[in-house]
Amino acid sequence: MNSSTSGQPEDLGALTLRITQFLYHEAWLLDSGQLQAWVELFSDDGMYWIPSSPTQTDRLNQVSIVLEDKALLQVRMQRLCHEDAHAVTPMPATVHTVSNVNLLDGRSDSEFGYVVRSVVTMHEQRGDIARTLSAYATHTLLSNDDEFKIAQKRVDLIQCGTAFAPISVLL
Amino acid sequence: MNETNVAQDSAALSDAEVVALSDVDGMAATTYTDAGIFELEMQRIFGRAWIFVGHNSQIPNVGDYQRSRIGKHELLLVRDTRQQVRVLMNACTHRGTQLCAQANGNAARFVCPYHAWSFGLDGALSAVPGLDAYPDDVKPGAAHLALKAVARSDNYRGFIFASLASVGESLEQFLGPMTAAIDNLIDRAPNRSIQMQGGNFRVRYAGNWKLHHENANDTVHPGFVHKSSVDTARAASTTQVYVDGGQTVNMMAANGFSRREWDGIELHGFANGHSFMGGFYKSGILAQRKDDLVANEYRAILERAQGKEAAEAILGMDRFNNLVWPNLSINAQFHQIRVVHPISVNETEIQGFCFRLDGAPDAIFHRAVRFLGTLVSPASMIFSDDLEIFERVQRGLETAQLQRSNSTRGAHLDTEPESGTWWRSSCASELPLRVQSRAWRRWMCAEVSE
Repeated sequence: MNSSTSGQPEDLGALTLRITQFLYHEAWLLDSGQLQAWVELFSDDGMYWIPSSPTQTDRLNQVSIVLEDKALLQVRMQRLCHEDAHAVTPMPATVHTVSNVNLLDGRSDSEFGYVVRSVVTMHEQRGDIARTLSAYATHTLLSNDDEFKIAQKRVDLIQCGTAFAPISVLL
Repeated sequence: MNETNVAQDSAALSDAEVVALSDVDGMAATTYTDAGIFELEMQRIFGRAWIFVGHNSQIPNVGDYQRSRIGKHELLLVRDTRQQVRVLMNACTHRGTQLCAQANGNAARFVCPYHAWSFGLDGALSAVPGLDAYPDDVKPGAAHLALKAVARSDNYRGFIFASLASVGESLEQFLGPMTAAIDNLIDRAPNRSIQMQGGNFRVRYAGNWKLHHENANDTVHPGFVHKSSVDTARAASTTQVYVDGGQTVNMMAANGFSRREWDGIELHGFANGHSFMGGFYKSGILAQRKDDLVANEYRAILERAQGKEAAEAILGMDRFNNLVWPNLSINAQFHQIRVVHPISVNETEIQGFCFRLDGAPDAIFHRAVRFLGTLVSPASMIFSDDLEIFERVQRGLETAQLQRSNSTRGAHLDTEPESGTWWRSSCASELPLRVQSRAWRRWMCAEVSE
């Protein structure tokens, strides 16, 4: 799972930098409207999850704000691009800020990949209406041939238990 | 609280003005945009009608409490030591401090965080620290210092409703034919009991509260409002194996009924504002797929519990979107309800809940949970388009100098009312809007007519 071509274990600092660059790239795909390219960051059996509470572990008996596999994420992004998707007419402009990147697990050559926690803040501007959503993101990343794939992304919105206006662009 | 069913308010509209605002052909724009009319609605509709406040299963044990609301009033539902459900105002009688800040929990008593006045589960004042500094009438048990209770509360088979008016029709009179929707939801449980579980969602839109129920039984909008999700679902691969077995995509596609399919559906409306769609099974739209193993197992369990014929009738109940005016929607087939909370004249919160059917396979509950997420999550690919339309209606009514909304579609197709209160019409009709305007007029007049 280690990307170093020299056969030596990758330096933790270099690995963290490479992961951080990946998260910045992911954020840019969402901000720049490259939604299909964003979905392609997920592995074929990848999952995207916004739980309805910070302590949620059960995906079947408890509602989720979003719980989708790659195929459903594709459907979601296709809808956003539909000309009659009223909720995104106009499409909100967003700035995703990624920080506090913390490699929690998988610094060696674990076959389960790297578990990375970061903080994401999404500033959203839709017409005259601005809002900010903030979350802890936990990525499980697989590394193949110098390329990361997202096996799972869990987004714990700090707003998860509150009353929302609709969410279109994801964090 | 009103001592009678005659509204007591200073800025009241005359009955003639109420009538002028609420024509069945279209509500006056000001009924969606005028803050004074909204305040009067809170007094005369939400201050008098039976409003759904919760379900028994939210507070099963002594001391369990659940915060809830009627209009602007914040409530506590409490299971007291005699197992009775109390519906109390969530405010200390000393200085008005909000008593409970947690959404729900279990307590032996309610202690105000300000000066530690304590109240029993029945609302009675039980302790006041530093009692000797207060005058004689401030003491444990003082009736005038008990937590205020709603004027009336009652439940229909576990669905708890409250009214802020001390007199008026009974809950069952108020619900009328809509009790059948609650009956059907409960009958779908092999053990004939249901539990509100799985969490809930609250979503907000910048629009008037009436817009939600005006939309819910409008069968013409899905082809336009939900076109993006219908088209996308239809274009999605049919061989793809989805994490939810295709439930989300199927729900999105379901708004794309053809004209012919909608034609099998009949709208029912009642003089008190309630309405539902009927005929879904007759038209074959919701026919069960033969290879649905979960549904087959569930059907077999229900047949064993209730008998084959009864199970057939229960599952064949063909009502959809049972709207209890002013603010409850019951979806018996998918074990869901929605509640509409008015916040201000142009701000509304929708809360969605689902139920576990006791005795049914777990997978049936998982589907109900998924249904709730797909439809009422703030990230819903379906509902977000409805909410956007509500906001655009609100903006148009606020800015475009329209005198009235127009709700005349299909009026010529409405039948004569049966026993004066029950209309039917074709699926394309705006009958639900017309009965809702009748109900608005009935409740908004100074005295509620029978």
